[in-house]
Amino acid sequence: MGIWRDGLARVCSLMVVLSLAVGCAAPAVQPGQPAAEEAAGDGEKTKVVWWTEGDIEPALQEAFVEQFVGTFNAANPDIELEVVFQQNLNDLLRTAIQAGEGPDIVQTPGPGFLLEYQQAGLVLPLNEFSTQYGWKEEILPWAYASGTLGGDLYGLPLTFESMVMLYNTQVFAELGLTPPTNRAEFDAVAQALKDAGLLAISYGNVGWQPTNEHLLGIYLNAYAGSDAVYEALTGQRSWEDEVFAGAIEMLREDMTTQGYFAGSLEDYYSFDWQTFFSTLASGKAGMMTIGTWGFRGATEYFADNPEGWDWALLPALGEGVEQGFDLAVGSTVSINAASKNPEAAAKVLDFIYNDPQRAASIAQIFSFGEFVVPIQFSADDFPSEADPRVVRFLTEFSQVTGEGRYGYTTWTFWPAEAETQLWKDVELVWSGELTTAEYLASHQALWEKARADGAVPPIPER
Amino acid sequence: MFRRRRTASLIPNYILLGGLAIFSVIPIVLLVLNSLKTTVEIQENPFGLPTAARLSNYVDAWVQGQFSTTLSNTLFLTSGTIFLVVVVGGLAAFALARFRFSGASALSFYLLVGTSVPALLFIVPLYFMWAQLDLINSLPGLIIVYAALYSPFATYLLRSFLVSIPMDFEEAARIDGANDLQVLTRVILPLAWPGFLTVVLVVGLGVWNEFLFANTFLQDPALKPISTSLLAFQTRYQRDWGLTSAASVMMILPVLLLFLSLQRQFIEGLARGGLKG
Repeated sequence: MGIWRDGLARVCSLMVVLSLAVGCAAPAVQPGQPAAEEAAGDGEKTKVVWWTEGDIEPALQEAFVEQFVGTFNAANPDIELEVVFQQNLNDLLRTAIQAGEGPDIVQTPGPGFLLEYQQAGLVLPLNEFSTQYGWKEEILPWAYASGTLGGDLYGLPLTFESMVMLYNTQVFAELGLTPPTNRAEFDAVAQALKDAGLLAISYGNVGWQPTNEHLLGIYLNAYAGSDAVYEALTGQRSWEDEVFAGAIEMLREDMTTQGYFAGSLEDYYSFDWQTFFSTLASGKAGMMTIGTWGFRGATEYFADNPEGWDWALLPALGEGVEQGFDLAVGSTVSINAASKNPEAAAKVLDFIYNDPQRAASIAQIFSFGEFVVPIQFSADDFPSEADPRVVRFLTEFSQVTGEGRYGYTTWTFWPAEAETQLWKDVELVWSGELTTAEYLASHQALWEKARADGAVPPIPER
Repeated sequence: MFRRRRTASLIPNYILLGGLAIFSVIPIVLLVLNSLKTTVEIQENPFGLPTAARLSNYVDAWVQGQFSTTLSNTLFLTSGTIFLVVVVGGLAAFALARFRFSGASALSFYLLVGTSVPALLFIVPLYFMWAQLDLINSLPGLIIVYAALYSPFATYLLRSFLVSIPMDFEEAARIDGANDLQVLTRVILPLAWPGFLTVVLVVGLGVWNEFLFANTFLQDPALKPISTSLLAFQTRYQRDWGLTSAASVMMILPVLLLFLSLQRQFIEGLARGGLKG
């Protein structure tokens, strides 16, 4: 009985202390919640719910809600749009949507995920809305094609990306360097940087192992050429072809023997986002191979020296290969098959795509790292405070890709299993535990399986 | 002489136990030290003392992690779940331990299966059912889920506890005119207290740290529990490790205090319940 009383007294005391601690604290303000409650109480409005990624800084979330959600709701008094920033969005969405629930607007991490939802009948075809709102004319053709599955449109790319070469302009100026355009120039620039005691390329995969696929995509497209990659994607060429073996071997050499990335393979495995950006910004490295989401990092880490960075097209690494942009879709948006208000949801989607100036303003909130919709931009569309380097990318992108100078990123155009094998097993190639031939043979086998299962994402025609 | 020889023979034990204690404590010490550093300092000096103790990390972590909201939600979830599990598990265990009825073995087997079904197997139909019942974004709704998840374990643990209590006490009470409920509350409960305490600790700890169901069934930020607070310090490409460490300390502190204050009863409960490793 003594134990009982003592224990109970201790539990009660602890609970009282904790309750007091909680009670003393000010209640947290939840931006967006009151609006949702208001809408719930207002029976006249059509509610549209959109879950988006929650790993965005709170200040940016608030700016997005104010500038996009607020503008939409003001322009459409009959609709109440609620954007909810969800952590672990993909897992949560997968559970909810399979249960016939979830938001009206379904945001996925890319076309591969969209394909899964489409095959399970969980998202609506958007053909009628596309015709109604003229999306085919507004969205860049390759991006529109990436959401077209079996002849029907199921998703629209919400963010497009490409791989570029960031470089430290002061380091380049001091060493008299210019961004390399081909393999010989790339070797010369990398050697000059190493001779100056600097890292050639600041990059690493800590915190995000799939970073490996950024490099794989670059080398496959820039060495083998995007025509060869297209042929492999469409089954006309084997991944065991010597051009791809050459690309993988070149990357292995650059990663291990040359030490172009972070100085050594070991350091590549120890560099995270903060390290590789601070290394570039402090002038300890000359270049960085990264996607256009890196513009955000450059803006942040070069804040004390805003003119200290610029970007260039990645060099062509193979004979007869042209420089170009690799196409990538960072996320897609669709309409939930269980949505009670698909027309209102389509109206929200159209609000994103039908006005380049508004789209540019929204992307500006995220330093053009998120919500960069693949539509035709002109220089006049951008707000005056937009970074001219980013504006140059967005305007050049549509021009260069329009000329057919584009390659394919693995996270957009590869089936899930083959993509994972590509970035995971390449570390075994780098460590010498797997030969390039074995690695590519496994990759080819996974492609054949995906093709047989109908799991290959749509490949835009060249 | 004998005492000195005995002490000497225990030295290897002390060395081994001391090593294990250091092995267990070091991660917590590092966590506390890192909670007082900036992310840059953690990367440059992950094992050393902070150059200047940044107590502001705790304030920032409390505000950014919305601990005032998540902590109160978690306290509600934890206390609600514990109450339900103790009542349901206690009654079920008493029935299984003391009453003879048809299907008792099948029920025991069902409970055993219930403890071993992976959550991902039933989370989708459960979500569907909860959506139909309007229990998504509902703390009581999640308490029911937790109670269902932990009750089989609690029933099993308490059953093995109750079986070990001699029937003599119960029979004496019945001779004095006690009914089943009185036997349970007046005789069995006081004797089985360490077992119930073990259930309270294990279930409380499980709910305190639970993430999958909490993140899935509670989408409203105002209802999020403490296990989701750590996500507030991570953006797409980087994490603030100073704030993450400070938040982790705040998360584990109540559980640590609870465990330390009740560890004697907890260990006794585990030992008597037959769950000792």
